[in-house]
Amino acid sequence: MKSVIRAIPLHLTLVILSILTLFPFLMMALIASKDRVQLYTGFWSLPNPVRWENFIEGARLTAPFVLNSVIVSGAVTLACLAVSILAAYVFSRVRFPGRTLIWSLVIGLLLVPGILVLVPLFLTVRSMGLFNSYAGLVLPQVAAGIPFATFLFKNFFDQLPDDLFGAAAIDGASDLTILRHIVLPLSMPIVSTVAVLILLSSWNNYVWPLVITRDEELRTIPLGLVFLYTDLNLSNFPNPGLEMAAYTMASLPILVLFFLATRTFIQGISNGAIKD
Amino acid sequence: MSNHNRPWTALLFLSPAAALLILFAYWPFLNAIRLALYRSDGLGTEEFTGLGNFQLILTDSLFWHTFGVLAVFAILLIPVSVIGPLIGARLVHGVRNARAASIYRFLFVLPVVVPMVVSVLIWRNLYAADGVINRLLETVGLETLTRAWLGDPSTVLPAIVFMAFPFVGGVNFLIYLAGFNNIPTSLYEAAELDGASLRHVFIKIELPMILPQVRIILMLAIIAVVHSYEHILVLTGGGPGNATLVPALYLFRHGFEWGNLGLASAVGCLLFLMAVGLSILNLKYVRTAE
Amino acid sequence: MYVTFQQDTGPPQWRHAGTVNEDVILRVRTARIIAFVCIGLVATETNADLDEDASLWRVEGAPDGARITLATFLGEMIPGLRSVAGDFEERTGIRLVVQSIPYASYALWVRTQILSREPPEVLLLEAALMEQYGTAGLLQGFDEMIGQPNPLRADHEKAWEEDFRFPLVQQARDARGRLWYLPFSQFGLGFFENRTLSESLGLTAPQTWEELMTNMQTIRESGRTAMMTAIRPDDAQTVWAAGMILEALMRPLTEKVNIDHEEGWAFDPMDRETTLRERISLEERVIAFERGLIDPARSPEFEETVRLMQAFSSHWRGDFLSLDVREVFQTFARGGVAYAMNGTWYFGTLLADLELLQEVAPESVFEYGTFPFPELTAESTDLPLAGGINQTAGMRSCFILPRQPTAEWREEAGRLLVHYLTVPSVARKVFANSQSWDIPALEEVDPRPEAEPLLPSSQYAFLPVADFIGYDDQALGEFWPLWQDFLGGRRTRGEFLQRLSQNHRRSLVRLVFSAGGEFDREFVRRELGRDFP
Repeated sequence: MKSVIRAIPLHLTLVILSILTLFPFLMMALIASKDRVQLYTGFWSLPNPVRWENFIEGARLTAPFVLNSVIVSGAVTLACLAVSILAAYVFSRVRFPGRTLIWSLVIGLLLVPGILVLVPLFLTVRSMGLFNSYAGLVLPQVAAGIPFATFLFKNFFDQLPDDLFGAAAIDGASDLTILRHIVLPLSMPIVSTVAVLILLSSWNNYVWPLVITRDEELRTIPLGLVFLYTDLNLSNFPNPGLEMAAYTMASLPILVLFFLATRTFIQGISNGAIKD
Repeated sequence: MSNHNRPWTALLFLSPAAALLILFAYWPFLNAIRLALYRSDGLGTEEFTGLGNFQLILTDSLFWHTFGVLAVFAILLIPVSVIGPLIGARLVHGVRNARAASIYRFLFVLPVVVPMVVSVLIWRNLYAADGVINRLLETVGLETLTRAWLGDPSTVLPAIVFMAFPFVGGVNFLIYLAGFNNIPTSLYEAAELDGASLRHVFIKIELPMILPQVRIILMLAIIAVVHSYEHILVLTGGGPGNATLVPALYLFRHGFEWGNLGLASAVGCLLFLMAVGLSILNLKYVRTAE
Repeated sequence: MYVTFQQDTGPPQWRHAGTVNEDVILRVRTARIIAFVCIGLVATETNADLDEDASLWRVEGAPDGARITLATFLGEMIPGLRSVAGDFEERTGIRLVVQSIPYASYALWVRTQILSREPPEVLLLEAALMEQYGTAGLLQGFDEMIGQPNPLRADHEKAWEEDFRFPLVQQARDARGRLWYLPFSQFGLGFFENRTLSESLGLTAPQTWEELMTNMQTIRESGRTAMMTAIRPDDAQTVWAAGMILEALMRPLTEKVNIDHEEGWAFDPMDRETTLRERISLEERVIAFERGLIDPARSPEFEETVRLMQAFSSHWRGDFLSLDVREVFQTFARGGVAYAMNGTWYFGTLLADLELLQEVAPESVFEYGTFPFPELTAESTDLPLAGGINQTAGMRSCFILPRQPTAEWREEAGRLLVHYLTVPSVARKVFANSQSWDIPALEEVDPRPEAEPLLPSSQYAFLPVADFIGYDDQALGEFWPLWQDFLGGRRTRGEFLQRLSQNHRRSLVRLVFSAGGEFDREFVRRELGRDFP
């Protein structure tokens, strides 16, 4: 009983902080549930009645882009995980000439401003004939995720007990077998962590899809939404309710996924996935 | 066979990542460096100028001004983005009920999905002349403090930093939380036996244990503050005057609006060097502290 | 002419009082996202001015099922453009796709699309930030086409240039006199007025600069907001105002600046014909700058323009440095603000907001009017005047034709499309189906009734010898912070003019550099007795 009472101030603080942290999200949902009249009469008040039609229309408008986002972000995440795990395993467990140098070259990429390489990268991808294609959308994003993902994986692999590997090696297992049957099962927490981080950054990526696509058929959600803004002439006829509803509906898939993944995700992180 | 010299395995396992990085990271990066040595609009015309672009930038008072702005941002933003999530994580770490803790974790990270343009729109509303902040000040009798927050060079920088309020959530929060959860319970038990105060536990036990996380987050925060410009572009466009013009936005304007891509690349190279320098300092300093 | 709000029962209607056709009624449906505006007058338009000769409509080398793209960030124009796509396809066999561009990212988008070597065949944009592509040889210029008749017109053989409102084509040329942009609509700078508010103070729409200043003084003394405006790079009204004033004040200098002209040319400020075939070359501009004629730091006309703007700005609501155009409109539409300066005429936004107001707070509904930018008189300035203000603030939207490295026929199809869209009957259909109140660039296409008062009532010769902001995109970019600092009171007039002078000079140096061998150094040396830079 005593501990429950002692915990009250803590919970109070956390509830307040949660609300403040959630503020942008709550506002997005609040504006989304109002029409123009309601927004005019009370920007901050609760909607009465809730304009569900905004959400329905928002879902209808964003639906075509959701599939693209799922394809692109899904492919980016899977590919990035696969190549980064392989690379991290090598950096963590295999000695080879120039390892330190190559490792710092990989980590150094974290410090390169994305905007600096935007045009050269664009020209590279174009000259490979990948302009306006899924491959052009996906591959550079995979490459962009590798340094951070590899960094996190390597840190995790470094902490795995050496005995595991020694025992496996005595059994004559190949590196690939060790990776698949020993390292990966132990690494699910970090795998889910990195997956969510890569997925989020790809899901929110706006600039790369903007420059590398031309056709509407290839647009991802963030891109589709800004094009929609011009298409619906929202700068002349603002409709903040619908706008926010579209944003809200577009963030739902990732939210659901996030919610489902949160267990493994948090477990992963709690188990010290990200530790230097 | 752990840690043995096996260059062929290394080559095999590294080749997919290497191929992607060479094509889509190193090659563009080398091209960007090359471009910095040319006078170029990025559209076809190129003329070698050696270090001419760097000379132009380093003698442009506006460039140095953007570094001043960046310094203010760094001073305001880096501490809060390092310390804020630390506080958040420490508080959630203190929650004994596992289910409650996992709910807080979810809520603290959830706003990551809100698009930047949406939070900019909300904060514009808050900062407006007849917006909530000013109305609140009037209600409590502080009319003299009301102002156009984004139109006043003395308030616009803190106003932009404040958009991350209350600073406790996000990805950094998760990284810290992992650090806290990794602290062996035995250390806590020992401290409890000694009757150490909460503050003492934090300073003597927890802080040293999460220093690696602090280092990662410090590095991420440095990278973020040096590289990011999008929210400033959307919120103030660098204004009023040049009050919020950061180097990355200066780069964006030169490269993508005014057709000076060579010059813009030179700015980018300087930003890269700066990030490298700061990271090395960070590594050295924090390692010494450890 | 004013637009009057009828406060009777039934659905809200806005009726045009005065001389304009009484049956033109606008209904704005805000329940939907898009307000459709129906104007009965244009519905029965025939295409008598279109040449039906089939050979004109064939594009050599276009494959079966050919498709071209027109991309624009002007969302308000999209329904109009789409409304003629079917007719265009019927005539040419080429499918026309009209696609949008996000406004906030258009600089980046256009750049990479052009670099992709497969850019849209036609762009409909504003001219800002586009000149670099012309200079780099990535655009088709209009220089030759503009002197020829529009081949698709059946009804006359005049040069294409004469189909456009004066002086838009002149204004569209870059600093070196080249034409990369074909005007499609124009800015007409003027004011929205809250007539209910101004009439309650006994004020009428000001016609002269002095009257405007006096009115605003009166309004402020009554405790109301005289005027709201925004000063952001995407919100150029204050710059147009300054540019128009500067053009008027500089007019007496035209002959001194335009030194390389046709034999026997003489300037008459009241006769636009005297400026039709003249333009200020880069060399002339450099010479005039070096002589101090158009150097902001040395020119009394610049000083006077800036003085007038400073006086003007003292009447604006104090938060102008933090506002964007949306906020200006929202606040104006909610009443309590007397004037809002505008050039892009978001009547649709205003009408929609007024209807909202009618629903939410009927007692605050007000009657609104518009009036054009007031005239400068001898009372307003001590400098000599040669005519008054040319109220055309300039070109707004324009067609741009990117070169097509991959297929010749695409370039031709692009040219065909802009010729098609600028035939008056087609343009009328485009504007009628759009949600734009911008004044069409074509002489024979009337603006919407609400925007009619904003058509220039008088026209003076137009050969602007100086540009207020400078002469290239970078100068424009560097101008904005300077302008904000000055109007925000953080720079004195002297400092502002000094810095502006430096910006101007640097932009001229850049232009001379990029002109390379085309720049006539000999001529400049002869005139100045030295080299530039």
